[in-house]
Amino acid sequence: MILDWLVVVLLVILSLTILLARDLFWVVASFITFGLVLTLAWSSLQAPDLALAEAAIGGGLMTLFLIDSLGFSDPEQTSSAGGFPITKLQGLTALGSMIVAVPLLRAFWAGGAVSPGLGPLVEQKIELSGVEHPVSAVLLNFRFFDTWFEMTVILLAIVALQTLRGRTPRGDSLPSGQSDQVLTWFARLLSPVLILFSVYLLWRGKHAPGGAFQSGVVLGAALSVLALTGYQDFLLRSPVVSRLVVTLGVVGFSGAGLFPLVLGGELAELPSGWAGDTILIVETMAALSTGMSIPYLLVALQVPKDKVQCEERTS
Amino acid sequence: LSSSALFGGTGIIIFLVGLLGTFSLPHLLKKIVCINVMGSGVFLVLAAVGNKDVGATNDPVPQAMILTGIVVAMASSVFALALARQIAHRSGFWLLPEDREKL
Repeated sequence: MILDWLVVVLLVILSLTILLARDLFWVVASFITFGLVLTLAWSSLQAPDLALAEAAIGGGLMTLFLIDSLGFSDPEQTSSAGGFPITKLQGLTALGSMIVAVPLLRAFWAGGAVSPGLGPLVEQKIELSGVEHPVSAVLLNFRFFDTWFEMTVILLAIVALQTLRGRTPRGDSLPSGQSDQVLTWFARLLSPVLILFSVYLLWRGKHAPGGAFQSGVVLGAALSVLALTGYQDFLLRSPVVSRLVVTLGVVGFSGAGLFPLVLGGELAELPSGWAGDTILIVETMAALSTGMSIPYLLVALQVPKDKVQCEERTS
Repeated sequence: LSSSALFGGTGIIIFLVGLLGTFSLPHLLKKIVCINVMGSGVFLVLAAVGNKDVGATNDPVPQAMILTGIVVAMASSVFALALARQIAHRSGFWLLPEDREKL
């Protein structure tokens, strides 16, 4: 309980730091710490799946994207734009949200009627799902649509970023740390371990916390580390192959979702005898494509360096 | 005070801090971070509702929804970052045009 209070106080302090800090680096650093402390909150709420995902995404990937953007920003004008000028409308919004918050907080602390939730139902039907871990069962069978369209959202983000960027990834697109001996050595040491760990998480998801997304994100982290230390070949040598891998997740989910229609079932109703095998195949495809998507997003986030082309595009 | 009430209440407070930041900070990078903070507040409330202090099992449905939410929030933040970087690249400022006029 003391740990809970510590986590809660830290979360509030960190969110206030994000709100009030003038220096951008402080904002980003506080947000990273916020993600890591939130991981402790998830484990305190007995949600190890969320703790894994938060550690990988909130503490890891968002850090990667934010620090990359931080390096892109111009240090001179960041401090001038850091003020706290509240206009009337903004002030009213803040006041309004606080007024809404009071009854919400009261409702939370009053307790009230406790519904049993969907936990017992999931437990009752879990044998039909093909996996043993309840969260995986919900993600990959009972609420198949959610995960299907989640994969679509990731693909959509990549398409949108590529469109904004207006060019396919080419060499010198990522800031390369190749000259740094320590970094290169560390990346070579770390990435096989990360890849192995991602396979373990994928396999574990069937009966314990873990699964396609955590596994995909860890794989993506490994590939991003490789891409940032100069090993970009897997992205650049054959763009067609890497794009195909990126679309694997949506292809897998669409296949598994639409195939039951051929057999005369409902949309996304996995056949009960084959559910376990189908889920394993779809999960593997989703993990691979999530893993490939992350370095792809990182490359697509880079704005083309040569000024000439940009001026052409703006004019 | 049970731990789900504690974390749910914190979620509401964090959501408000994020909301305030999203509206009051002009810097685009800070806005994006604050939107993420807001999202984390919502996830905390949802997880706290699904968490049973007394019952034997946690409700896996909110957990699965939050897991989906975390990934979707990441994807949309990256898209927002790309848009903000285009604005910064073309105008030289991490600001929306209407905020730049006030500068």
